[in-house]
Amino acid sequence: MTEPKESDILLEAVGLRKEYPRVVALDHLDLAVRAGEVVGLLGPNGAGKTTALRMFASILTPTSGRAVVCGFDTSTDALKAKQQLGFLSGDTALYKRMSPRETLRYFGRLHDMEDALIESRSAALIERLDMGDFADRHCETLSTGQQQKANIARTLVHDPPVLILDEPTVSLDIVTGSFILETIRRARAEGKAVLFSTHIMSEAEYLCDRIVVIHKGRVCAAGTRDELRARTGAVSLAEAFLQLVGETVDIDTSSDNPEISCVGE
Amino acid sequence: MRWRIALTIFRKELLETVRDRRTLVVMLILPVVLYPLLLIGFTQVASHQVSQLYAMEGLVAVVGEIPEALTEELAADAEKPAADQLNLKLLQLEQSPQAPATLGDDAEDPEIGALTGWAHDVLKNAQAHAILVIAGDSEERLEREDTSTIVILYDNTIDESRAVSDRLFTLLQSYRKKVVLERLAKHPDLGEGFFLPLRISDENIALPYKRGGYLAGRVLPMILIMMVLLGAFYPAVDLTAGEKERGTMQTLLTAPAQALEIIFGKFMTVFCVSMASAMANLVSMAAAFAWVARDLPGESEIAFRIDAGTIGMVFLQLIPIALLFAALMMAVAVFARSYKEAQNYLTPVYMLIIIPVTMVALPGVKLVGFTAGVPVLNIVLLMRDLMTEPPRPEMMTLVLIANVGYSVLALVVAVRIFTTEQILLGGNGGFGDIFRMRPTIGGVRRATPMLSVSVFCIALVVLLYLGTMVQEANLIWGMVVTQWGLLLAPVLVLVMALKLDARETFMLRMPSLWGWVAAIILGLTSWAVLGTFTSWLQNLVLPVPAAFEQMMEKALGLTDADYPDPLLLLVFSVSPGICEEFLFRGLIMAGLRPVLKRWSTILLVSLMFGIFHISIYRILPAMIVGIVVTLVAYQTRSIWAGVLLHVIHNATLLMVSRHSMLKQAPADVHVQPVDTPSFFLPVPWQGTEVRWPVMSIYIVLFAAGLIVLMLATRDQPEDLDIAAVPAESP
Repeated sequence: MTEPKESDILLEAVGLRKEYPRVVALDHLDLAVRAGEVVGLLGPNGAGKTTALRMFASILTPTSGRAVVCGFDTSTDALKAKQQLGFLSGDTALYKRMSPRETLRYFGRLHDMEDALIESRSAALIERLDMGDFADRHCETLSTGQQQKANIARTLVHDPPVLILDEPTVSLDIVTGSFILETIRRARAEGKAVLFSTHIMSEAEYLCDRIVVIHKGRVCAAGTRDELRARTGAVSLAEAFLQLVGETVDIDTSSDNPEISCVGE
Repeated sequence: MRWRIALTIFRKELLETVRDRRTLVVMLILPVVLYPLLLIGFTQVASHQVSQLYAMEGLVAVVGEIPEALTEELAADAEKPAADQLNLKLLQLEQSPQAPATLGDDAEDPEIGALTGWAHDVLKNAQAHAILVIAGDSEERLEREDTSTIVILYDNTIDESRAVSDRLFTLLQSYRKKVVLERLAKHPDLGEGFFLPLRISDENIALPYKRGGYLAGRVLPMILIMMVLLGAFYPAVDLTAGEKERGTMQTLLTAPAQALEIIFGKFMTVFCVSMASAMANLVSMAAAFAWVARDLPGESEIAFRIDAGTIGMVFLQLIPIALLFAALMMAVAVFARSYKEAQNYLTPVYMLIIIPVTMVALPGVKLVGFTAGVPVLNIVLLMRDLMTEPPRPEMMTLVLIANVGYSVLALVVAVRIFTTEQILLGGNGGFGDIFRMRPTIGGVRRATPMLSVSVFCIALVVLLYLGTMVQEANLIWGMVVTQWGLLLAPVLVLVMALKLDARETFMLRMPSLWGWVAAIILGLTSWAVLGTFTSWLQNLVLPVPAAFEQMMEKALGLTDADYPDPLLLLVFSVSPGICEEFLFRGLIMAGLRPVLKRWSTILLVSLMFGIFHISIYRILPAMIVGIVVTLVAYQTRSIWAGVLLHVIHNATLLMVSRHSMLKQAPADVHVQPVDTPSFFLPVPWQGTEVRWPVMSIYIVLFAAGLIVLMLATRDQPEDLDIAAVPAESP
């Protein structure tokens, strides 16, 4: 892998740390995602994936370190950072008493877009995501798949250069799930930087250019899937993952340990 | 804040709220239906009841001989048109007791007293509605132109009995008039004026609108406030906890909107819905009243002044109160993670608001300077006034300013709460932890806010009942028992039983040398500085009546020369200095420290300390002293500094008051009101003037004490323990 060029990096974490009184949720995460690249954040439940993604989305403030979106620090320039970002997770639900079209209009306005631009973007997304049948129905009447399509449209309405997806396929049926995976591929093709978390190995294998494995708040490995397999001697990514996660329990992961840096590998 | 974004959020929230049928029902349909049903239904039922009462034949059981003239009166009454008839029937019951031979003019006649047991039974069993007692010598007395006493026995808690006794009274009046006229005929030399020296007539001169307003003013403002509250309730919960429950809060947080813009949009929505609800209520109320007034018989002349002007003024006054409710409800509801949880949290808020609302029903509660400053009560009183009296612009302004102040305050608090990340996200933290009784943090068992509040409430109740009881039995011993037995001992037992870390809970560590120095300086000067300040403030807010001052002096044994000084010092300064400190700066503060910042902790502990003195006149002084004591204990992280300050403060105050008071023997109060050139100042609550040269020395020393305290403790982290609280799970 080549060293990413500074100008290409759209999403970057430098020594990112989130601490709560009784627990360190995330410790010293270094990470960079370039334009046209999909990076997967892998880890078991409670590993700190959601905490990391929420810090990129300016929902949480880091205890130390920096999260940077398109050159904007998420702590000091939260609004500008959020402008560049589309965020989708299992926790981001839609307003039940509003239609997908109204939702798009609302979020477009929150992104300070002109009404005419919102209308044309919405129309294009509704067309592209095949939402014509239900674009004007209240979201509470939609099926889970339809809701997820509307949610994706909501994430894309302002055409963000960076997408962050927190376990986007969790609890979805296979059709909708694969629809999302296609959306991610398409976003990569459009030159967007995509960071997404998952604990489904096949998804990561299928999509990710690089993978960062975190466990108990700490990065325990990072690289392409082949690099991870090679390092662990495992046949599949799942096996590699299990080895890595099991392995971390005992290894020293102080901040200057080269193993936890994923950027330069 | 970008207004465009805030307005976008507001418009969307309003749209969603209006699309919610529950809100619409509470906001519009309920008031539109409620008032007509309530008022028209109520009036009809009431008038039906009244007409039934009039149509009913009144049964009067007579004890004794029925005078013939009375029977004749009744016969004449039966001739009248039905509407004017008294419709009474005189009975002689079989079990009737013997009539008293004679009755004096004494209302408490024992002969009558002997009859009441039987009379109760008769009324209870509805054998008769009223009882007429006529003495055996009645006829004879009337013959010889003497006064005969006739007694009506009735029970005014029984509607029929009250109505019949009124009718009976009318009958007897006309009987009396007949007797007078007969006597007059026998004495042509005496005019009618001889028998009727005074003609007393009373007339209710209240203006018609006032009579109506008097009735309406008692009930309607209460209903109106409750409806505004209800109008704010649903959207406040829906837009905070509801949004978290539905998972849309996080969606919103990923959008580039500032917290302030989000709060503004949501807050304005809650406010608008609440105001719309208020308006719907007001209009519906006015319409229903107009309808009822139209139906009322002309002669009763009851009108209700709920005209356009009144509605306008009430509406204006409701704006700040709706703002206050909106901010308050949102600030509380945002802690909750679900609808149900929010309803639980809001219940105490509801109760808190209902208390001042119901106070309007207390006799003599009027809109004056003080009540104009009490939130909610002021608006209810003002609305009552507006319905019965000409508007008083100065009071309206005062109430408006006070409520605007409160609403701004509530809004500032709400904004601060909203901008705390874990609360908006709805992680663990927040109220969930507050309600736990004993969390373990870092292996140390600590008190929680819930424990603090519970202990305070229990201590207050114990003091109110048991404490007062033992102190009434014996002042000195009662105080000792209260302090050591009822306050300190249970606190120590509780800490042990819950296995709390005593050292941490009570802050059992020594302050630094300068900490001690600060406590001593502040202890020696605070009685004068704070005493003068609070008495000035107290006079401004709620002047203390002289009777209360005397009661306090007596309660402290100040004027009783029999008590030796050392005894009083032990009982009123050393003892409370230790026991109250362990309660307030110990256990109660320990539970609050972890969840509140420094000044919030200090102010809340001090407020509790003020309330603990169980008198509205002592809350303010005790609270202000409490602030200094709490500050010292908090800054030095030591209860002993607080104890020392408390003991010195009480001792100086006690001795200065006692000796200045004992000097003026009760007999020669006029001679000298503490005029000796002493270093001590006149006691503030005696109302004597402050001597500024001496006072300024005190102020300088007091300030020096504060400076020493802050310098001595400047290395301490600002907020004690606050980081030790779990804020949010990862």
